[in-house]
Amino acid sequence: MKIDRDQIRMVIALFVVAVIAAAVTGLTNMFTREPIANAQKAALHNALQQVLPAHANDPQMEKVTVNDTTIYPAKKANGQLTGLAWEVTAPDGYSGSIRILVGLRPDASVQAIRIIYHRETPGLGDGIVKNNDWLASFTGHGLDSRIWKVKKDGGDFDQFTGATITPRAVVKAVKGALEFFHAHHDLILERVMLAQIPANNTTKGGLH
Amino acid sequence: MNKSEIFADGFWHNNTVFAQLLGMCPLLGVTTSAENGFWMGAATVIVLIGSNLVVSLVRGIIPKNVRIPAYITIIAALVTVVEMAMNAWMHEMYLVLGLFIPLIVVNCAILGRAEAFASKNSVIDSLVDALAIGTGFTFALLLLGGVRELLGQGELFGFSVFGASYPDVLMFILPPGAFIALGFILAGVNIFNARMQQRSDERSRAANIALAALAADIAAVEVSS
Amino acid sequence: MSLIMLSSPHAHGGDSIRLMMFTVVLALLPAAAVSIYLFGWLAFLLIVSCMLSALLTEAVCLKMMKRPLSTLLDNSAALTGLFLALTLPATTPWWMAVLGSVFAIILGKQVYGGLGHNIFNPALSARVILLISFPLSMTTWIMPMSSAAPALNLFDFSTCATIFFHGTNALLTSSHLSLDAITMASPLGHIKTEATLGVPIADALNAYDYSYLDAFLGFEAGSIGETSALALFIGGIFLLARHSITWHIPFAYIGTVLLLAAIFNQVAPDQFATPMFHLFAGGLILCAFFMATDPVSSPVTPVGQIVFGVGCGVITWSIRSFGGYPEGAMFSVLLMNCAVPLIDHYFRPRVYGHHVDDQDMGKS
Repeated sequence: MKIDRDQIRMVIALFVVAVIAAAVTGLTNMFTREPIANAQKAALHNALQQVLPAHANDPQMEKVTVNDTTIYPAKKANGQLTGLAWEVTAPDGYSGSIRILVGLRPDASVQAIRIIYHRETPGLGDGIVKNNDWLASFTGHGLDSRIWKVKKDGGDFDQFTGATITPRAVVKAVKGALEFFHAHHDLILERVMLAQIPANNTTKGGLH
Repeated sequence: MNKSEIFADGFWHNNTVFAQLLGMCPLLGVTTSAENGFWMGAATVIVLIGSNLVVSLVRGIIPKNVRIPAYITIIAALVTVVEMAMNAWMHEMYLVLGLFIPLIVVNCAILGRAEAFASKNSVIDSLVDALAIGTGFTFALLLLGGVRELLGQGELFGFSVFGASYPDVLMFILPPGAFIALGFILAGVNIFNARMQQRSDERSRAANIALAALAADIAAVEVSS
Repeated sequence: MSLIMLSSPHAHGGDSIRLMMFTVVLALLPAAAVSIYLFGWLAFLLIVSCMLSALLTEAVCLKMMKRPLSTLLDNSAALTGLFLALTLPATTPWWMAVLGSVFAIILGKQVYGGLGHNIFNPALSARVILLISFPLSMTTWIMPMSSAAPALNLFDFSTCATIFFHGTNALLTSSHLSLDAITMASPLGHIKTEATLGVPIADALNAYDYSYLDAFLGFEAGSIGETSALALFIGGIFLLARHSITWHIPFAYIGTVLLLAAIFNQVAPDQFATPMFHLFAGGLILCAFFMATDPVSSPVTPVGQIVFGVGCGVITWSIRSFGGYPEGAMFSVLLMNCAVPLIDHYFRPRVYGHHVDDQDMGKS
């Protein structure tokens, strides 16, 4: 079979275009890999700053994993633990899952919570992001000092006017975080204290 | 066509949104605020300049039969570059625009310009065209984003315009508001274009009458002399 | 070339449109009267402001489009305003009512070219726009005057004027009431929220103090004109008797909801409400007799109308039972409005003078 010259030209043209495109994207990837990692780290850092008490360490460098949950510890300069944070998911939001970063104190009370991702109804359920008083109502409370339900269900947390399902889901998820802490208290503290030295095998570089 | 004609054509007369109704997906999807609209437009401008430049450079080299896959590969590479760069240096906006950045690849406005303009014109003309089309698209995104942000939240670029007592008309932030606001903007643009056309018609008619009068005068002068 | 003309009411002169619209307004009078009985001045203010602003918007539109203002007299704008008012919660502030009427006339009707050209029911489209724009106000229900201990005297004009012109919050700050003291969930909203907790429907309704009789008469929380099934039935029967509407859409619509509710309630009574509950709840009857039968936005042939009604019923029941919103009647009518051209395509009227058998679907 005779191969047409045009066909060869087509193959070569596409080949060259593809190689150049691959090279350009590859190069860009090389240059942006580090800044992207840094940007992701900075975004998580900002979120962690908001839910953790004052600390001297880098919680991302000392993260540990317990039961598939990644835990970010906050420590003072002398190594004393001041707080822990991890992400929980409320699967029962009004429209899909709500991801929440929960910051806890070592005495198993909530330091602060922050909604990382949600798709709740604007004007109703999105009060979980906009209503600062409501977000602050979690601070300082542990499993025993509050009934972890919305008021409508006989608990201690406000629901919003017109929106019960969203706050209910968040309260339940934060309660879940507290229960997780109680259930794995010793293991978490042990792992966290082991992670003292940043270059430790569990946390190499803090990057994925 | 000279450079300013190319620009006027790309920016207004052939505007991606107002005249061609292309690129609807990012247009309706990301324009919940003026800022989002602007950055989506900026990302598109960069890709468009790159693709028009490269396509214009390789015109005549790429065999006709495989030009479409070649153009798409070029555009996809450029979009990937822009996406990674935004992820690295504009991380928050990258998270907001999310899925719509990779979707620039399939924005028919870009392949359309590669095929309809850059593959047939010089590099400089193609760059002017890319800039015109890109800024025209950005203008549309900015306008729609601004209208939706203003009506939906009473703000513009995050600054309060109508004050705190403005009741947010959430529809304009939600998808149906995008369609409704776009419909009214298109109607406005059509009214504007019709007025312009009418005015230029009147002007040319007036010019014709003046010309005829002049000709009559000249004729009269010639007869009398 | 085949010219198919179906959707617009070509055969009607101005007078008959006017009469037709007037008949519907008459049919709505019982519901309007009950709404004023239940929600006092609030209902009165809402109805008046919606009707006036709808008429005014229509006048402005006609002026802008250089059409004769006499079109105003066809009663259609006034009817749209009345419809909208009846679907609103009693505490809707004046500007929301006005904005809704403006949306109804402009976005619901005039952008399509005016009466006869609109795809969607204008009042319903405006109601949905208001719902998604102001979800909080549109889902806050006040206790009607009939309830055991009404916190507010709704026949006191100054109380109602405060709510209507300055908003519910203004009233709460001047009186010493909390929002929870004067508002309550609608029955549909209540069972939806309880369902997410896994509470069986019967228990949820017991806790709510629900009774079929109250729901039938209208003594429950809800939109001002939707609560009383009785008043709406009277209006609906009046329309049927006057031949303003035919039985096809309302019966197919309500019948489908009842049938689905009956079947599923038999299978899983804890998760699915009874047919009676569905019948008296929310906007089903108003939508079935008044909204879905809108001659402009519903199919022309009886078979088409039955298909339309069944579709509305399936969607209403599905949204109520599985959807995110507690009530789906409005959405179902709007969604089926979209399908009308398709329904009309498959169920064409018999061509005058032809025998039914002569006409093959798709060929004419």
